Amino acid sequence: MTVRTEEGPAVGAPELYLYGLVLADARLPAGLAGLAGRPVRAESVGELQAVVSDAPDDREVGLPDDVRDHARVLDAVAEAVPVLPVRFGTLAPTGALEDAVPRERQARHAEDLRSLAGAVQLTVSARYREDAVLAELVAGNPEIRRLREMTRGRDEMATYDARFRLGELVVAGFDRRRPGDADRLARTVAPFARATSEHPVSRTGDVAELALLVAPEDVEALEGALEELAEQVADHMVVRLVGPQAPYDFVEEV
Amino acid sequence: MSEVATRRSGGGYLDRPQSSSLADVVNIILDKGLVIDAFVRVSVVGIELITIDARIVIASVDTYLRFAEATNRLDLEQTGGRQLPELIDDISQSGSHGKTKGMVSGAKEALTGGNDDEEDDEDEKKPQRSRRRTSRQEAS
Repeated sequence: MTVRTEEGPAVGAPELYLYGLVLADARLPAGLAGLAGRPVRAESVGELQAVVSDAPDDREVGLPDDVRDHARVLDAVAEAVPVLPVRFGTLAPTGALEDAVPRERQARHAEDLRSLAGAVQLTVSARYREDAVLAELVAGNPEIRRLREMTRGRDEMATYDARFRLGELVVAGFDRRRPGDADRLARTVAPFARATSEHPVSRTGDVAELALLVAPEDVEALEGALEELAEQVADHMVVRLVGPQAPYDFVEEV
Repeated sequence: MSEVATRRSGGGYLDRPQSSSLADVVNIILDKGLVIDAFVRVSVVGIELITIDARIVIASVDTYLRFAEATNRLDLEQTGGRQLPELIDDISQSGSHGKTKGMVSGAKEALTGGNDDEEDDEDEKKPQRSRRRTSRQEAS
């Protein structure tokens, strides 16, 4: 049992940083470096193995570089063997790994790992070219045009209400447009995805973001289909594809 | 179709970075994955600011005012009465990195160190020394 204080790292046993879980017979890629360059290794946890490295002992975990390293290790492991990512920032006291995953969950995780075999995650997102859509809205909506003329170059406070209304109409214009374009993206990737997880998009200008579980042999075809879509929509949208990665979105919560 | 500015690694329109940017990584992996209750978890320094700010922007009237401003910044007059399709073409070519850089992407760049959508963002700013840490204390 470890209690951390705000003053610094835990007193007592050195800590392990946890990246993910793999099957008991999985072999990790050789020479993998983890957080702060520490070597990554597999430690047995019942029916599974935990992918770990020693935690940095001279500083706390939580730098942006650590997030990057966490993802880099998991993505590299995922290319070799099925892996269940553990949430970023999980530290365990050395020797306490057996407590990490209760026995009753191990079989379930092993099953999940076997079902993930032969699949990687890719994440596709689409964003509007903001200025292109704005220009369309100005051209196509007389009220937006009128409010724009009314507020442009005028005192900000004096035109507050009109500017508010203008922004509201513009944001509504993006919102109206989004479902059709999001649907088009979803239809483009559907034939190549074994499973899909839709991320909520929050910023105005985002079209959609989808995590896809894809068989490695389908990745090229997926790229081809998205390239075609990206060309067709290039005047008002940017399509981005990241991966292959570990299946961050397809870890079932227990 | 004009040569629309897209970064690519394969020579096409699809934005296909070789390595994920910090923004990608944060967006994709943070708060995903198995939670192991027994263990301490730490948050990443500064990253919560990105997500929190994004939420604030959505929720507030700020969004409206920002988009009003972005709309007003569009330089339609300079087009000298040309038709809309030409105009859109021009704007697309200038891309989000031109002088009419999108408001929202600008804000995001500010938050993530200004180069979140570059393929190589090694020179990302290091966090301040004054780290805030939100470690989840183990119930004891």
